[in-house]
Amino acid sequence: MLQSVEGGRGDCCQTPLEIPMKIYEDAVSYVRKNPERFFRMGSPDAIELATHVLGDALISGAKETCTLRLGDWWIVGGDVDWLTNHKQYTIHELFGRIVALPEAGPNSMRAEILLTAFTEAVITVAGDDCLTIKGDVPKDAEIWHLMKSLTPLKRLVAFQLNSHDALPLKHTGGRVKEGSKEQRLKSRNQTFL
Amino acid sequence: MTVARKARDKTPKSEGPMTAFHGTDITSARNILQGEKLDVAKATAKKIDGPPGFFLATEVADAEFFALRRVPGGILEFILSPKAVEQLKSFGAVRRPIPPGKTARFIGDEFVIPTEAFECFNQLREAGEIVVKPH
Repeated sequence: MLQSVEGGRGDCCQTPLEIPMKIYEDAVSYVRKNPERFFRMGSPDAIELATHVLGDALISGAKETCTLRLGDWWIVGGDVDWLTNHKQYTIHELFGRIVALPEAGPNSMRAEILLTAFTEAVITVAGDDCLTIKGDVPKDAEIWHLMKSLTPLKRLVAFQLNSHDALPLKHTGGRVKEGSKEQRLKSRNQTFL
Repeated sequence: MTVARKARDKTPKSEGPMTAFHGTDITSARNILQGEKLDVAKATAKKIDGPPGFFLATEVADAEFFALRRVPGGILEFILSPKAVEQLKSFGAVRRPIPPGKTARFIGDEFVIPTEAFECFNQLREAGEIVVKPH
């Protein structure tokens, strides 16, 4: 799945004037090579990523949003489906392209491609529609159940930045014990706007 | 030596040509390369955000961002003579840092050519004061 998103390296072709011209297509590689353009401290940061995604949801009209952490998963949800309100692109295309966000002002872009470029796994849920954008997430993983349980929200996006990003709530040999009810409750950080 | 002459001697020497880059979709890049003139109606119709105009980035990596907003994209290199830069400025063109947008920041400047300066730009290109080539 990821390869279809990332596919397309820069290529050269001939113009009608026989002048070689490079074609630029691989937006994910560009973003990955230039983290300083997207993160204040110059390197991927989970809080910034979540904030970027949350901002997209709010700009798209969400009135109620939600951020949660489940182990090393970060979840952002909203009461509008901000991934399908863009008619020009499919969901997979949103995660593989630099997509302008003119509602946020000149030179603004949507955040989905940052998740593709910098995270280990990305999944999204809308109702019963579950989609893996990147990574290998088992169908019976706790994260799916949690996201599906938040049914009042129209769209949820979850990502894992990396394995050492886990929320230190309940240490079990240095790692967070994932999936426990206690952890879910403690890691929940909902914001209602 | 007069005061005026002394003052002139202290002014910096005129700058050399400006090299800047335009990132856009590959079709538009090819059309411009083949001599298509800047057109107000097209610029207005094709703009993604911000005011209509023609935008050049001083850093190629910034131009790449804008090319990738319109994949498949292409980048053109523009070489503007000092005379071209000055004349375009007299029609409202301005060099400034590229405004950061939500999520994205830039490292270089942009040379913004407003629609009012398009005719001047086209004439300067015809006169060889602006040279365009693929990057």
